[in-house]
Amino acid sequence: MTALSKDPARFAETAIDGEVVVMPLDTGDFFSLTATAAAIWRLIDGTRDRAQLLGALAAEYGAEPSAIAAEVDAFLAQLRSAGLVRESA
Amino acid sequence: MVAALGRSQFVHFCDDTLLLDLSDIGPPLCHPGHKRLKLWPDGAALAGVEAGDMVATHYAKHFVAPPSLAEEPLPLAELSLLTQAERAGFTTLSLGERIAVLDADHQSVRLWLAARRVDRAGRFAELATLSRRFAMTQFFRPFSPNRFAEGISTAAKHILEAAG
Repeated sequence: MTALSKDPARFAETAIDGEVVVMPLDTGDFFSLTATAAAIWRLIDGTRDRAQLLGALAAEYGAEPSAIAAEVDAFLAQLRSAGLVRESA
Repeated sequence: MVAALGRSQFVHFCDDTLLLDLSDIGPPLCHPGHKRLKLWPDGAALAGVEAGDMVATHYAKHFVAPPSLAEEPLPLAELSLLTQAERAGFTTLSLGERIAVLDADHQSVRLWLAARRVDRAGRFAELATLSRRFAMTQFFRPFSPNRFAEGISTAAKHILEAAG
């Protein structure tokens, strides 16, 4: 399994009322994550790979994993690109 | 707006500059303003207040005496950002918007952060904490003089509702 995990040394975060605000420390820019984006961020905890994350998110929102896979992958690509998420064996 | 609100049921607290005490936990403490209220003649006419002495012979603003002045500090309940719009109203800012507003270049919070001597992560933590200490909204109103009253009545209604 290749688990998705965050790199806490690279960002600061705060959350309230279902909204998560993340700041990569190298840029200082803010990302506001709400709804499914916040849910994905929460599910990236180092215990799930992509398929398990898709499954958990699909169960939470009552959707088919295949129906949400493209959008989840796009968001994960953004997180990887920002250096916030990595995959580890 | 301050003059017009002061004409109705609100005590004048400050204009232009608000002194904030951020040293305690909970809502920041606001101190009544030390500057005298000054308006251009058309602003005084719009607010329906009497223009007093001119500020200076070469500066055509006039001093205006508010009907009542606040004397005691008060906790900050809400920070509203004024924005021009076709219709008057208020919207609540999200957490991300609140942090971004507090971090904006024109906000004097930068002075406060500089005094705290924090790094980037510390700055974020300070802004996140500060953003939770009071509500923040965006106040939309038309800037056209003939719709001035619309903004005033919307603001007055919102203040009364926020005060409970």
